[in-house]
Amino acid sequence: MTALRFVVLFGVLLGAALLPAGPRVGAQDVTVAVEPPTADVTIGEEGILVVTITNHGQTSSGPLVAHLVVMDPKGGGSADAEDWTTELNRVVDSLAPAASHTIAWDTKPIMAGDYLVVITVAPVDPGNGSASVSPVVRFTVGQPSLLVSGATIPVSVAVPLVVVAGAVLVRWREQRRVASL
Amino acid sequence: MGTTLVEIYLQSSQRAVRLSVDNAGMSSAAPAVEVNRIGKRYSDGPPALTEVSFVAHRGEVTGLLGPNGAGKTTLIRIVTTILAPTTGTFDVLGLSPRQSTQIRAGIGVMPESAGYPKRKRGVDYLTYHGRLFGLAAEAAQHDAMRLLDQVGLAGRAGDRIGTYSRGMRQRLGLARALINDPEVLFLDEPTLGLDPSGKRDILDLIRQLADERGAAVILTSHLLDEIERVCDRAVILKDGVVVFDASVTAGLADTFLAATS
Amino acid sequence: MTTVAREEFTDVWIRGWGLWILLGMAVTLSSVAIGLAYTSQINLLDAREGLAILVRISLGVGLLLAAFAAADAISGERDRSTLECILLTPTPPRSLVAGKLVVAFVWWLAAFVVSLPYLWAMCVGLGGSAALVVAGIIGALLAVTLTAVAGTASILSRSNLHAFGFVFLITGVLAVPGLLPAAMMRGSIGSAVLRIDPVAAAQHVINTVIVDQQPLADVVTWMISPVVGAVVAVAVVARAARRIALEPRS
Repeated sequence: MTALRFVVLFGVLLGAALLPAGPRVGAQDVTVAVEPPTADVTIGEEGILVVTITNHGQTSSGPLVAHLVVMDPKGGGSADAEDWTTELNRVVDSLAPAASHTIAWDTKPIMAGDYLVVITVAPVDPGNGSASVSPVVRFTVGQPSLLVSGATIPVSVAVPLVVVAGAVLVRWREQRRVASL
Repeated sequence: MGTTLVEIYLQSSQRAVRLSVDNAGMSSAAPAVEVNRIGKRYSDGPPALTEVSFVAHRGEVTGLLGPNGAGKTTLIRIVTTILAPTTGTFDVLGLSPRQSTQIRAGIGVMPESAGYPKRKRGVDYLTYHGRLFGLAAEAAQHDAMRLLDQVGLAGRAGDRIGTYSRGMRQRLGLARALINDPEVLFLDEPTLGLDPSGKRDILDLIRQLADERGAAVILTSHLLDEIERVCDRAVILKDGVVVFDASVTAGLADTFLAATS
Repeated sequence: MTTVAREEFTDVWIRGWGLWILLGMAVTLSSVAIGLAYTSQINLLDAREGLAILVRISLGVGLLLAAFAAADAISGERDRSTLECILLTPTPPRSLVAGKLVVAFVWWLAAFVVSLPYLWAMCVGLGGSAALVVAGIIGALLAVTLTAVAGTASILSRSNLHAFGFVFLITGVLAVPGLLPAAMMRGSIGSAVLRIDPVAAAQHVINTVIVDQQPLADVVTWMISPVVGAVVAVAVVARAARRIALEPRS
């Protein structure tokens, strides 16, 4: 009997240890909204994503980290988000119940194409819940307007030639004036 | 006119020397330049000039003599309105220092240490200065060519000043001093760097300016024979003080040595 | 003033090396324009940022030329021992200074005129000519300011070395705030410095109008310091010009 009691007691204690410490903020408690839902930019043009993180839970969320994910569906993988922004992660202080935090996320894509962008938000402390994901933002990145206009080369050649011609003409006239003195 | 005796105390030798100040030949007309007890002290050091007085008349050449550092250039700069005196007053052509613009319009100056723009041509330099004195462009160029001919630089008018010798630049400086047809000329070492014939020509020109144009000429020189040759009066400065002011007579060299020793 | 300005202009642009220096600037601009437009790697640079770079180069070169020409105005004459003869003419000192500084300003104007075709060619692809207007207004204000400041230094300096040294110092001091990292200048003090410094304010206007394509009206308040700087600098040099001396007071 004593051994049985020990086993039962050990089992109860083990089960208690494995139970969650208390109520947890789950995936459905922190929501991530992002505007705009679509973005149409050119290479090098800045696009700002307005990300709103809201805690719908009953307890504080604990510190959160938001991460930018860029996917290239036609490229068969994810694009390098570091090419889009210098701040891949943004840390958010603990959100009280019903509190929100808004982040203005600067992005500047460097390659043309169609991309899918999401923001994932996860608690810094893994024991505090699971990740949340924003709706997908569809990014269409076009080619930039080029500096090459038809006039660049002609201007680059013509202006120095005009200046040289002017300098030679002025010098020639001065020589004539001096000769006439 | 008579002779007045003036006692001039030579401070360096601490003895009184009676020198005769000869007023013979001095014009009774208003002086072209009248300097009255001018003093100049710079911020540091001893005074450059102390109670300097003299007059210069039209048609007269006045020589300003003295050892280095006597204050000759300072005095000329004051009278030509480049520097302000610390004490005293002066009149040039009846104009006070407050009328400095009018003074400068009526005088010609050849500074000793003047520089010249090397890349400019001689005729262009003179023409520019003529225009600064208010001449029209064409008149200024015409006068420039005439003056260059007068000082013996006609053949180099179109050359850059950087190619001129020291003597040529002196001649150019003299031409510049004459560009506005001045009534009073201040010439600081005008024959410096000239060969003997050049010196003779310049001195003759200076004499001519006084005799024929009636200009009052004040010139400085270290060469006593030049002063004796061309000047009517001599003013000797020593340590910023006038120690001699009289008509030029024979034996000026002895007088100079006695006054400045 | 007209006589002095005309003579100085002739000395620089007719009898001197002005047009040849301008040729050097034109060749440089041609190289930069072609490089910006055609080098594939550089094409990753935003078009408007490339245009802003060209605007800065053209302004910078013109401003430096004007500033150093002004710094030589009076102290250069002192160094060459030519000032005394000029002071011995009836020309008022203010006219002398004004004539020389006008010709110094012309250096910036000439540089701007030479760069106009390049800026226009680049604006064609981007639409709109706001860059030309901004470059002209900002450049003119800064040129007046730097020319006047350098002219004052020239009047008060014993030698060209001092005057040039002062110009180097002042252009460096004015340029530094605009070059510091944006994070450093975000606070109230940093922001105030950027607004007060005419060069930093000009940089902000160029970025806002050319790169970010905001209308000029949005940056009107940033134009205050360039305008005030120009007015104050001109007043200071006008006052200093009354007291040109053969040797400046120590």
